[in-house]
Amino acid sequence: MRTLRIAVILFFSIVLNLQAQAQSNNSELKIGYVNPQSILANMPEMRAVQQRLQNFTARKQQELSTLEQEFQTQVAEYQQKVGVISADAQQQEEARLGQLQQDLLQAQEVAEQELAQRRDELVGPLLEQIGAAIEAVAQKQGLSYVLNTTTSSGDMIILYASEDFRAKFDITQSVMEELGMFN
Amino acid sequence: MKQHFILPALLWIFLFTVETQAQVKIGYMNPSVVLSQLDEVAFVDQQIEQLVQERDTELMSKANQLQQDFVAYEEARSMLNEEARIIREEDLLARDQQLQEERENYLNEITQKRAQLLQPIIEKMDQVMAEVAQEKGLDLILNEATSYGDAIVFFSAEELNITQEVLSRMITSGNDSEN
Repeated sequence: MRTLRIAVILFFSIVLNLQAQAQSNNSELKIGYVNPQSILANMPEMRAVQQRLQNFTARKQQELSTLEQEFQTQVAEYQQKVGVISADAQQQEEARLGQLQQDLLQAQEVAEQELAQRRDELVGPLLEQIGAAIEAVAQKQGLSYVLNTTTSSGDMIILYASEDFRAKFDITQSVMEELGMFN
Repeated sequence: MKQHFILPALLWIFLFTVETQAQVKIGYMNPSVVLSQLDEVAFVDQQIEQLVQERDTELMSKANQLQQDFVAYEEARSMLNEEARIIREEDLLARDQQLQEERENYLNEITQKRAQLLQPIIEKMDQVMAEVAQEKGLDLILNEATSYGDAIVFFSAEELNITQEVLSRMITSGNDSEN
């Protein structure tokens, strides 16, 4: 009789426990977090990307340096003849040099834009791979949210994570594994 | 008699299971607010301001000298031969270039110096933040806003904001170390 009562209590306890677990799983918000910039920096493809960006930057700097030298030469030439030319000619020359300087500044801006565009073209596909891997890991681990740890300007979004939470929900390593970075 | 032990044990197992599956507890804070109100940070800023003034004076004096030399060259140019002109112009250009480089280095130096002076304060703040998180059983602490002022957390319960708690502990520990 006593054994039966214990068995009944045990049975109800297990049922209650399972119910509680089911409810908890349904309502539990599982949040993970990831540092995509650290993954990106460690991707083997990044070495080639950096090299290509460096080459691109060097080429643009060379082009700009040529334009600047040309401008400096023309300024020096103007300074040499400024004392012997008419006021009208001076005005024209100064306007022409002003325009040249403006062109130079514009060329610098365009070069910066081109560099940013080139970076997007080269890094974009890697970021897409990281995004897909984050999604895959999140699904495997049943996460409702995956937060970014840091903004692109270096501000931290997650200031602190407890050791336990970090061990369970920092998915940075898992995403790297998903990307095959440790193979 | 046995039952008296079994029932509480089962209840305990049940409660423990529910407890371990409790939701993640998230707090937030604003480190910029904490730093902006600490005397140690004000002292760092004073040191930086002093360094800025010193470097500004130094650079200003070099820039003035260069400007004077440039005017002197302009005045003397018509009396100089081609070779002398080239030498003077190259010298002026090189000095101008050097001044620009010094200006850039100076900005980097200021940024690095500030970061270096703030580092121990930030480390202390991280330590205090971890203590508060552990005491309050927080799993995560989010930054309330970026350094550009963009909100990360738009709304949350005020009791989850640990900014003031971290600030007051930082002030207390600062006072303790002074005494």
